[in-house]
Amino acid sequence: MSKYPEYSHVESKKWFDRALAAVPSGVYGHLGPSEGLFLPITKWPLMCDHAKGTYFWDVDGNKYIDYMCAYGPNVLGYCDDDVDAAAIEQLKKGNCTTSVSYKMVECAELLKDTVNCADWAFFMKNGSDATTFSVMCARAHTGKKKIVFFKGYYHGDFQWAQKADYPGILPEEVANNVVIPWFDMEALQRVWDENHGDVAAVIAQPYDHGNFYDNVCATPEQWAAVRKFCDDHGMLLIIDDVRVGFRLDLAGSDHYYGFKADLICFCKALANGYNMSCVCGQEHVKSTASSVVYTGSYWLSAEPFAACIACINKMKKLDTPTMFRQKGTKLLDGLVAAGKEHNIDLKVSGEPALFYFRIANDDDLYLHQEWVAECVSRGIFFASHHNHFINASLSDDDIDYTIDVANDAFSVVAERHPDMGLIK
Amino acid sequence: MKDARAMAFVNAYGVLACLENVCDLVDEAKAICADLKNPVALGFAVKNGPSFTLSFTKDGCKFIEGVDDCTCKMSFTSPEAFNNLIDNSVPGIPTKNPVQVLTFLLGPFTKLTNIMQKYLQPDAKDMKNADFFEKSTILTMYVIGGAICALGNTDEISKLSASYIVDGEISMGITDKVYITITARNHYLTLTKDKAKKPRAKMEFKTIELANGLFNGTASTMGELCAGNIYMAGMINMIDNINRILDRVAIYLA
Repeated sequence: MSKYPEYSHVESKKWFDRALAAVPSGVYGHLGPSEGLFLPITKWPLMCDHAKGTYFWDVDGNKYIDYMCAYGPNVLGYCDDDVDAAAIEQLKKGNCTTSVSYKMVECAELLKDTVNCADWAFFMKNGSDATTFSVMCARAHTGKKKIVFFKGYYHGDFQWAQKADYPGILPEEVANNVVIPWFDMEALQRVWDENHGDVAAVIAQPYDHGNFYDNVCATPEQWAAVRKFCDDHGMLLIIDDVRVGFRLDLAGSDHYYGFKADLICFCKALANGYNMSCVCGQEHVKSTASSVVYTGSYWLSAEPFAACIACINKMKKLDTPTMFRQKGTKLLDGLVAAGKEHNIDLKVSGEPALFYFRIANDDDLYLHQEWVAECVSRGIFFASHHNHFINASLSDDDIDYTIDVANDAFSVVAERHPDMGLIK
Repeated sequence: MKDARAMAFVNAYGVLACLENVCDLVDEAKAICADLKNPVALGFAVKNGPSFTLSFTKDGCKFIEGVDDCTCKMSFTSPEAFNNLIDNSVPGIPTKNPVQVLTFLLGPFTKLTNIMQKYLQPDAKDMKNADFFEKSTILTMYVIGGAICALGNTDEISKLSASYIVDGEISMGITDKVYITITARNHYLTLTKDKAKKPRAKMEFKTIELANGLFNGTASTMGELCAGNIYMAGMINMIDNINRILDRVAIYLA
């Protein structure tokens, strides 16, 4: 019998029904039941009431330890006192103004001081804005057309970054995308040759953190080879650090893997949930970045800049990458050991700060989805298909509690499948 | 956006292959088969397109790949010519046992395809009958299953979706009504009109009404998923990619 009672979601359901009547799919995108894979939907909270630190509470009053961190933005903890104070102070002074706040300059200077490859910073709102700007810069800079992607890529949802078979996408919109296996240098050479050198850039995440499969970390040697190829062939190397950025290394994930990107895209962990993204780049691309026509109504608002400055300074003070590695490792060691008690093989992959896991007793994720659902319905918010995120507010007690609940959820799953050789 | 060759495979593996289910489910069609004096195996040979046989006996109809065992055969000079059979009832050239081709084509075959059309393109009045509604929806599901496989193997955009599908069985069904299995092997898709033995991914519609709404475009897959009316489990990326092909099916069968 389960030690932790399951939550109920009566109020969540009521709110979600209202959402369905007013919003396509109720909640669309990665925060909703469809892309978020709430399997089965009854086990998941659908609407949040409030959040603080590493926790959020749904509209039924259920408390969750959140390992998705709003899919990344929550890096210090929800409603971080220091970041919020800086943002609120700036709001009182002005936010979206005709004459841009000096906070933009302070923010850009801080990024230059923090990010290894940054000689400048260009601001926007979302990860897709940043990757799109980078690709535009690469084409403008090189005068070339093709962009090389690594298999399993995700660089946002703008048309160019989707695939030809996605709804609403024309084949012409992705005709200049070429996809190769990760770090396949022969394939990269082939793309160059087959396109007679008409290749502007490689765009890639720091490592393969795709969904539904074990994540694969990169090595400095692999990245060095790609860097050299780009240098030898006059191509730009764009690192999409939207998801991983600042969780491995405050100087950028390229720095973590020992190389220097031409352009690097940041978003999620940049401002602890305040809405901004940016592209940082090397000096040789700066004049091109100036020439690209790209702006938005809220891109230079001051409040997120103030939040970003406070967030980066606090991440530096706490040395969050080291903290995340330690916390992630402690959590994963505990979960794997708990799984073993039940004869459950929990396979972990990726960087501990952004761990991915799956139950490997079957090869189709059924058990894993069941276990994740049982964890979520007992207050541990995991995802069954996506990497997770550590934030700085996660305490050792939270980790111990997580492992205990997860252990309980393993028992529930084991009991449900007496024929699989699992131990209750 | 439609490719004639891919359309020909949809017409073969989706539409005409559904005759085996029409002959199994609809009494009127069963009676036509029961009245057959001799078995007829009508082959369809399409240049640069599908090659298959519809074998009719007193017990019903069976879709068989290839034309090796047909008793009579129609040949088509191109996928377009074959599609013209479906769209405008223009027959191909009888190239084996022309008398049997013409006799069967003008008699039982036309009657059976008319019945199939009644169920696949139903009028609102017929759909008020619960039994008709259910059979129409089930037959549509079979057509869609065949069309998904046909497009996944031949339509350039759908092939891209299929290229992301890992090996294994995908189960699709309407709870307690009907199940089909799409099997992926090296990104080639095949349909089995039966429940999967060991599916790696499952997608199940809660009710026949919901399935019908999804098939005719009045319900949203995403919306119903979010409302909890579609059950999914397993390797959801397999289902994701099947759903992308399903979008293409809607274009081809529109």
